[in-house]
Amino acid sequence: MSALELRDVVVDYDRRGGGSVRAVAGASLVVERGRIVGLVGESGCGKSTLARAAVGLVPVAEGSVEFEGTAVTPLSRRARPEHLVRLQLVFQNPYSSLNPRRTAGSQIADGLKGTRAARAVRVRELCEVVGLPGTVTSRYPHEFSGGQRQRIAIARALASSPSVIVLDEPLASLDASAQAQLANLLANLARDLEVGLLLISHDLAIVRHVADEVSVMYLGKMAETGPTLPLWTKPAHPYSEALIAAVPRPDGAGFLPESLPGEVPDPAHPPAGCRFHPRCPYVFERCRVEEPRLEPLPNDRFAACWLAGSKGLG
Amino acid sequence: MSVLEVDSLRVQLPTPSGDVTIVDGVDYAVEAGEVLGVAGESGSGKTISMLALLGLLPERSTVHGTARFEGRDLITMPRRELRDIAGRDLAMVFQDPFTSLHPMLSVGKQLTEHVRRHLHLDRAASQRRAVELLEDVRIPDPEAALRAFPHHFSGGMRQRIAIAIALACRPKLLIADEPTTALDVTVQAGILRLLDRLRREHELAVILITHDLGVLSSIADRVSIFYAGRVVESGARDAVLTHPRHPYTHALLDALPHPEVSKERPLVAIGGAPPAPGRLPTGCAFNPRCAHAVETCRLEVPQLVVAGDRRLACPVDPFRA
Repeated sequence: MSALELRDVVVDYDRRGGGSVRAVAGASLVVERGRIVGLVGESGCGKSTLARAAVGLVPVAEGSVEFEGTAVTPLSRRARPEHLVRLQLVFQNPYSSLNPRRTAGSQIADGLKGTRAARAVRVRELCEVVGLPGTVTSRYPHEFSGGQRQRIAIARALASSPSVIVLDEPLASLDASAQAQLANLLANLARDLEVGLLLISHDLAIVRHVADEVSVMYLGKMAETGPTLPLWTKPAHPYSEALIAAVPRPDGAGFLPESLPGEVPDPAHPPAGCRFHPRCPYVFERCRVEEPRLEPLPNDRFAACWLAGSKGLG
Repeated sequence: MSVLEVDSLRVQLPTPSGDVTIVDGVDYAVEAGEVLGVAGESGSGKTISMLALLGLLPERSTVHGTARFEGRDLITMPRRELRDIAGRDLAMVFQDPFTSLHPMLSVGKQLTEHVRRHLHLDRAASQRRAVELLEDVRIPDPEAALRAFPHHFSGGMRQRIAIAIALACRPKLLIADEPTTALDVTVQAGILRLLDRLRREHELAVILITHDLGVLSSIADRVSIFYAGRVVESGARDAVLTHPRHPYTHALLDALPHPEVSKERPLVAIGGAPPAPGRLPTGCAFNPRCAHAVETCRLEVPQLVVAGDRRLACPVDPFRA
């Protein structure tokens, strides 16, 4: 049994003035304990919506989301069911997800049970795990830097002894050094505490560094999934290839990154055939009429491209 | 002659607890057709030093030093003259084009108003110029785009439109402050290629402010690394980024994930945090975070001096080749 499993998930949003938009159009994802799964793609590809569906923040129209074998149901006004407490979400901007009028310590303690003294001990332990001094507990969110606030948000998530944490762009808007600290922390959480992490990020370099597996999402579907290094060095899908080629390298060589022309199309009107075909440099006739399914390749890789099988991966 | 030559720029901003020095003696120059990359962590004074040139600082700020733009000092120039230059010969684009574009005015209005004010073109001529500009930044169907509003466009397209507006009066210098930070990498690559083409075709001088050394590395000819309101290292892109010599530049590069580095090796974060303006340590502002600091670093502020192929503000120079 996997810790978190999303199977053929479909999420529809109502559009103002009637009609609906399919933000996620059948996507699957598995997060095991102790593993880091990176979810990447351009804005508008549905990755944040999929993350929200994974923790029950948006209802799923089709498919299923299971956490430790039980269905994740959309949140209601009632308290979150006991078994879902071990599935946590950390948002992009900790300044808006933390309460500015409560101390860091009291917010970390929200998920803890037991006597006041026991909770205080645990709060200090959690601070240590995320690399903050125990003295921070009496301070307020505005007294911290962006990186420290993100670590408070993670400590708060860790208070419920989670087996999976979903992180939506946790590294955005941080300086390189703070990003490095946080990336190291995420790697430690997976390795030492056996937490499974679903890491949504548009920073591909960081994902490449920390994730065990990567899922590349395009217009509501998975374009490619697989172990990070092989996917990175020899992408099977042209979209993964384009994303990786667009990452600028800080090596001083002065190479301009490759741009990918066009934009993610409106999900209300996805292109016929392969969803990526209007932007694909390798497009041929079949791509315009027939949509490729996510097919297995050697070494635990999957890609949704008619040409993936002929690339000699494996 | 440099398009812009900034010398000993100092900026103090008023705060409730008195004036605080944000930029403390900064020099740089940029030539026609050249991209100068300015990097540093947030709060290092990169943006403030640019806003000072355009007279965009809050009231009661003080600015010292000179900033010669085509030979004339922007700092001492009367505000009326500065207003004529800023927006015409010297243009700026910001991180978030959604806040710099007017949401209630059509793209055409924002483009033509600008050229009509500064270049005194009539309606038909300004319309033609607007189409030309949108073509230049590769907006598909420019005529339709003129009638559209900013919210009709994606982030990348909005940034292209903001660049078109900035270029409307054929500026000599474009200051781009984190122009790609809010964009996807694919779109970022397009904007970087656009800036690169503009400086080649129009001999545009560009100052690119970014915290992303990857962006800097792909387009800048020369780079200046800011720390706590000062330049700590500057020189040719390949020299500074392939052989960084200031411990801070070195640490910034070490913090980045490299495709060649195994993931088993943790990233090397810089210990501590950048100092708050107004509460700088004595001596070199980086000394409390520096693994190579010696006694002098705690006593004297190091000057930016020529050190071989670059300028460097570190007397220890631990990474000298």
